[in-house]
Amino acid sequence: MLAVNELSKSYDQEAMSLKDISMEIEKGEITVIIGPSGAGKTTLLRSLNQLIKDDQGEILIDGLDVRTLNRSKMRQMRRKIGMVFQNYNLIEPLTVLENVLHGTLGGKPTLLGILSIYSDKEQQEALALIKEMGLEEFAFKQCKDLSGGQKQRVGIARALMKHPQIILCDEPVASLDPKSATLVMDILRSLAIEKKMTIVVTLHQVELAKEYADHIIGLRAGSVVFDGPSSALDVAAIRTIYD
Amino acid sequence: MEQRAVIESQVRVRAKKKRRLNRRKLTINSVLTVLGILTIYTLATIVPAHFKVIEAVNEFMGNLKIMFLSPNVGNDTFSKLLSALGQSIYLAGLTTIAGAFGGFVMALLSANNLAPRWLSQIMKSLMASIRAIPTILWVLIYSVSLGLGADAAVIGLTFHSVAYLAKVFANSIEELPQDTIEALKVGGIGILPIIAQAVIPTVKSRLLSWTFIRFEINFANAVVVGAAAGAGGIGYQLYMASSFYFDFHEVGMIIYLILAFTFGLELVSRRLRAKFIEA
Ligand SMILES: Nc1ncnc2c1ncn2[C@@H]1O[C@H](COP(=O)(O)OP(=O)(O)OP(=O)(O)O)[C@@H](O)[C@H]1O
Ligand SMILES: [Mg+2]
Repeated sequence: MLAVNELSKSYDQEAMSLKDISMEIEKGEITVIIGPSGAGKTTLLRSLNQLIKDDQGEILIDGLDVRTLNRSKMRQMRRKIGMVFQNYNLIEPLTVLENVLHGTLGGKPTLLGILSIYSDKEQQEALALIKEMGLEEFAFKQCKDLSGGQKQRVGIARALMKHPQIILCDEPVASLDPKSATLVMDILRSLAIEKKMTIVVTLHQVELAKEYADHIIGLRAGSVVFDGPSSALDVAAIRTIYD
Repeated sequence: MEQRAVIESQVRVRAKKKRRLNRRKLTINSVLTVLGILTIYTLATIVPAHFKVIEAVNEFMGNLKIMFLSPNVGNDTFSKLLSALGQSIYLAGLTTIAGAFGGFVMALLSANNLAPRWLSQIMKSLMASIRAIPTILWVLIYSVSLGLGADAAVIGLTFHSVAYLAKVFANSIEELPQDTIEALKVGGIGILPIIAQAVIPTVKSRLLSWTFIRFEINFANAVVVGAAAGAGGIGYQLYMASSFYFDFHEVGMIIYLILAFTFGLELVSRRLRAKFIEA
C-alpha cells in the first residue's frame, strides 16, 4: 500500500533528520512510529503526504511515487490521505457539524465552498460519523466548548469525511488523558479492522504502541532501528530505540 | 594569583561603566536645565508690553464660563446643529465601512499565515508608511487634486482607515495558527474557502470590534476635517461659531454635542475591547 525506499531529509546542511529510511506499510493495519523526541517521527509522517519535500528517496503509494507528482495529481493523491493532529486544528468557534463538513471542501467547487453549501447526503453522512464517534449530543455545539478527547474525535470524523484510504496521525493522543487516549486509539483500531484503512500513528507511549500496533517502526536519530510486529518489541529493542 | 587579576580587571570594567553612566546622566541633566531656562526666558519675553497676564486669564475664564455654563444654539437652530452632527457621523461611518472592506483585503495580503512572506512584508511596510502620515495630511494631500471639501475628506479618511485596519486585522488573522490553515490546505481546500470557512469565523468578532474603534477615531477625524478642510458637518459649524461669529454660547453647545456622542462611542468601544480584543 505504502512503501518508502531510502528516504533521506535534512532541513539544513549539517544534520540529517531522516537517514535512508525504508519501510513497508500494509493496508488494514495500524503502523505505529515510536522514537525519542527529535528522532524524526513528525518529519517522516509529513513526508508521506509531501507536506515536507524530501531531499532524496522514494515514497510509493499504490505503486506511484508521490515525489514526482504534478500539482493536480498531488491533489488527487492527498484526497486519499486523511490527517489527524495533536492539537486537533479545528476551527474552534464553529460547530462540530461544520468542522466535520469541512472534510468535504477539498472536492468542492470554490464557490460552493465559500458559501458553505453542502448536499443533504453530505450532511447525513457527517451526522452519521458524529454519531459513530459518540458525539451526537454535541453536533451543534461550538468546538471550543469540547474536551480534548472530544475534539480529537471531531478531528477524526473530519478526516473520514473525504473517504481516505490512509490516515496519518501525528501524536493524536499526546494531549489527552489515558481514558480519552484509549477511546481514540480504539476508534483508530476499528477503522483499520472494519474499514480496512491504512493507519500510521506516531506515539510517545510505548505501552499504547504495543497494545494497538500491528506493526511498529522504531526511529532513532533519523534511522530505523526497529521494524517488526509489536510482539517483537522486547526490552532490548526498546533500549536500542530510547537509550 | 591569576584569579585575582581576573577579578581586578572586572572591577576596572565595572568602574568604567559606572563613569560612563555618570557622564551620560550629567549630559542629559545639563541639556534639560539649559532647555528649561530657555523656555522660561522665551515665555517671559514673548509677552508683548500691552499684554496683561491677569486680565487675559480672567477674560479666558469668562469665555469658558460663557461656553460651558450658558450654551445655546446661537444663530443656528438645534435641528441644524443635530443634522451637522449627523453629517459628521455619516462621514465617519462611510469612511470606516469603506476602510473596513479595503483593510480586510489588505490584511489578507499582509497576514503571514496566509500570504507568501515576500508579499506580506511588502504589504506591511506599505501600510506602515501610509499610516505614518496623519489622516489630516492625507486629506490635504488629496485636496490638492480634488480641491478642499467633502471629496478630499472622504478619500483621505478612507485611505488612512484602510492602512490602520489592515494592520490590526492582519494581527488578528495571524492569531489563527499556521498549522490549522495548513491542515485545511492539505485537504485540497483552496485559499478562498479557507478564508470564508476558517479565517472569518475565527476573527469575525475581533474585526468588528476594531472597525468600531476605528469609527470612533474617524468621528474625531471627521470633526477636525470639517473645520480644517471645509468638509462640512459639526466641525465646520464649530469653526464658524468660534472664528467667524465669535459666538461662545454656540461653541459651548457644539462642544457638548460632540462630547456626548464621543462619550457614548467610548463606552461601547471599551466594552468591545474588553470582550473581544483583550480577552
Ligand atoms: N522546520 C524545521 N527546520 C529545521 N529543523 C527541523 C525542522 N523540523 C524538525 N527539524 C529537526 O529535525 C529533527 C527531527 O524532528 P521531528 O520533529 O521530526 O522529530 P519528532 O520525532 O517528531 O520529535 P517529537 O517527538 O518531539 O515530536 C530534529 O532534530 C529537529 O530539530
Ligand atoms: Mg513530532
